[in-house]
Amino acid sequence: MEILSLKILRMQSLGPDHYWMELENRFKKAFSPGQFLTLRPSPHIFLRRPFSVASASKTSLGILFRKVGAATTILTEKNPGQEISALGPLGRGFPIDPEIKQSWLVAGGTGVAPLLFLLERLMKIQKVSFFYGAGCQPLLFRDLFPQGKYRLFLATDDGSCGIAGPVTALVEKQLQSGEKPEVIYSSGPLPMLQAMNTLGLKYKIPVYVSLEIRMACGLGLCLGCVIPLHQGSSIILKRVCHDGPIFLAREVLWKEITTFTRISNGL
Amino acid sequence: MAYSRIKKAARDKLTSLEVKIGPLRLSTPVVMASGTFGYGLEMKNLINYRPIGAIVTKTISRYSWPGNPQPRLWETPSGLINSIGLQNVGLDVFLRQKLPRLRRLGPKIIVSIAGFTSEEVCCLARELLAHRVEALEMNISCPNLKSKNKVVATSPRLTYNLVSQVRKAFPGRCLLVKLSPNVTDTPSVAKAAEDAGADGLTLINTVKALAVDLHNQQVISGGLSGPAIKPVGLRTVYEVYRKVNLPLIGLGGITCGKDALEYISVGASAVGIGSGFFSNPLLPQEVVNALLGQLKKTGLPSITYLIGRLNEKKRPS
Ligand SMILES: Cc1cc2nc3c(=O)[nH]c(=O)nc-3n(C[C@H](O)[C@H](O)[C@H](O)COP(=O)(O)OP(=O)(O)OC[C@H]3O[C@@H](n4cnc5c(N)ncnc54)[C@H](O)[C@@H]3O)c2cc1C
Ligand SMILES: Cc1cc2nc3c(=O)[nH]c(=O)nc-3n(C[C@H](O)[C@H](O)[C@H](O)COP(=O)(O)O)c2cc1C
Ligand code: FES
Repeated sequence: MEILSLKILRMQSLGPDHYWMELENRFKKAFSPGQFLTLRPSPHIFLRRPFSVASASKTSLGILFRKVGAATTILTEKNPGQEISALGPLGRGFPIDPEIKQSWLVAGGTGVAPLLFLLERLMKIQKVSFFYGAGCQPLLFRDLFPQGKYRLFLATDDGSCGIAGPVTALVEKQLQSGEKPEVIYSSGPLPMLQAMNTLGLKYKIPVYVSLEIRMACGLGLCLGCVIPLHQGSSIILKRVCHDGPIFLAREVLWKEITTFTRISNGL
Repeated sequence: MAYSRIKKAARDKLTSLEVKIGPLRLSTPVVMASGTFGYGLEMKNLINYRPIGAIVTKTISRYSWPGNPQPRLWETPSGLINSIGLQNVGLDVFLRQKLPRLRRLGPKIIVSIAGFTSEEVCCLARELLAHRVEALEMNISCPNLKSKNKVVATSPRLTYNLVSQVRKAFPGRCLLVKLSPNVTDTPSVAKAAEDAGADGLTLINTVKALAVDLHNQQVISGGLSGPAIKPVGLRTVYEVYRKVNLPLIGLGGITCGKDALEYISVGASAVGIGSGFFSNPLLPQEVVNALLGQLKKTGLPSITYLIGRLNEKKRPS
């Protein structure tokens, strides 16, 4: 974990309210897929903001972000050459079991960010299928996908690209056809993650989800991001920033975190 | 006044940034506030602990507490509302898993304690004394079950009663009391804590606040911290310094070295870093640099000379 002032290498508008930002990577420790960093876009905004790492090389880090409020609006106004305070690597990434041969990645909207990084890793060692859904065609950022061997399934709410409907319906159709991965990794809006949990339980597939919640420190200090989890017969409290943001979907008490369901729906 | 303080600094042989809070001698006046620095251990891989004079732990209770459900956080202009609800691991886990490691870090350790009854708080104090803890900070912004759930910090009488009992349970070592700004007259509560035998006061805790989330049709009720409350903290330190003779740890909204100097100039002997650490983990070092810079600029040998410089009205002896 380090706090650095990093140069912005690239800033690109991807489509409505979505941006791709590349930062120089001077972190000593490498990021693993699912980990995040916090940025401080301006001294006038009090708290740092968490963002998943969407790509990482020895020299650069890619971030895919959506403009939703004050901090992300300031981010859109940044230019290459400017510096920004970055803190990371934070959290624990997606667990990768070397024994596993086949996995599915299921992304909704901006939630695609950490899964792009995971795809980069997994496609070299496993058979990977990537299910990607968004509101409409301009919000499906296909240019961000790496070259390589994997299958890509697309869905849009309005049917402007891929099948019409939620990405979870696409996943279920594939499951009904008899195909079954050993593990599913998912990231996106909360209702989608909940639907993935239901599918995972129904088809007996472990599902790992990346959770988003409001954070103050991102460092495990303030206990602001704590959620309850099932563990065996008991309920334990975990910090999303420190113990997550990746959790086994069946351990999450989905009902208890509905307040932040509403927060995420507000996006 | 200034002269007597110079004599006192000379008598205590305090050099440069050293300060004394009752019997506790700190290498710098920088104190990491309760609840915003975890149990003190978490940042070992990120920052240098040398600029830190003391760490106040997350408030612990006799038995573990689960705290409040989500949402626990809400950002406001220049501030943060939290409703963590004192989630903590409880005394036993603290003693076994946290305290031994905390002691190896370097800074002085101040254990923050709270309970719903005076028996509970005294029990914590006795156990911590038995484990040779050097300093306690009583978080009295907690309702008291036997006094119709009245928050202790809002009543000089309840404060006096609780602090004098804990004083007996924790003799000879540093006992701090953390004051709340959610009171009509904080100095009278401060005086009650002094009369009951406290060695120092920490002020301020968070300011009662509410956020309205129209989009999700919910309200978030909690305590406000951050730059928004700095003027409240400064005013409270300013007033309390005039009323009591105890060393003060001033905090509320400190986000730079200048903020720390402001608190010291109105009477704080040490300064607390709370939520300012979230946005800038380099803040302890920055505050120390600013204080050293000020000593160099003024040619003074010790930071203690700056305490209360802009609040020189005669203090009661
Ligand atoms: C681990 C993690 C990874 C994230 N990765 C990404 C990413 O890769 N790309 C991306 O665009 N965003 C990501 N986010 C969300 C991002 O942090 C928020 O969108 C951002 O903080 C909003 O800041 P703002 O000032 O622009 O908006 P604000 O004015 O703070 O809020 C605007 C809206 O965003 C919601 N919001 C604020 N903070 C969060 C949060 N932490 N989580 C969820 N919703 C929030 C609010 O409820 C509100 O509806 C991630 C969040 C977490 C916790
Ligand atoms: C997330 C959070 C948790 C806190 N927990 C505690 C606590 O357990 N005990 C306590 O005495 N104060 C607690 N506080 C109050 C701080 O110690 C401090 O008094 C307050 O935040 C004002 O300082 P600041 O503006 O620098 O943050 C907490 C504050 C925050 C923001
Ligand atoms: S955001 Fe502070 S503990 Fe997770």
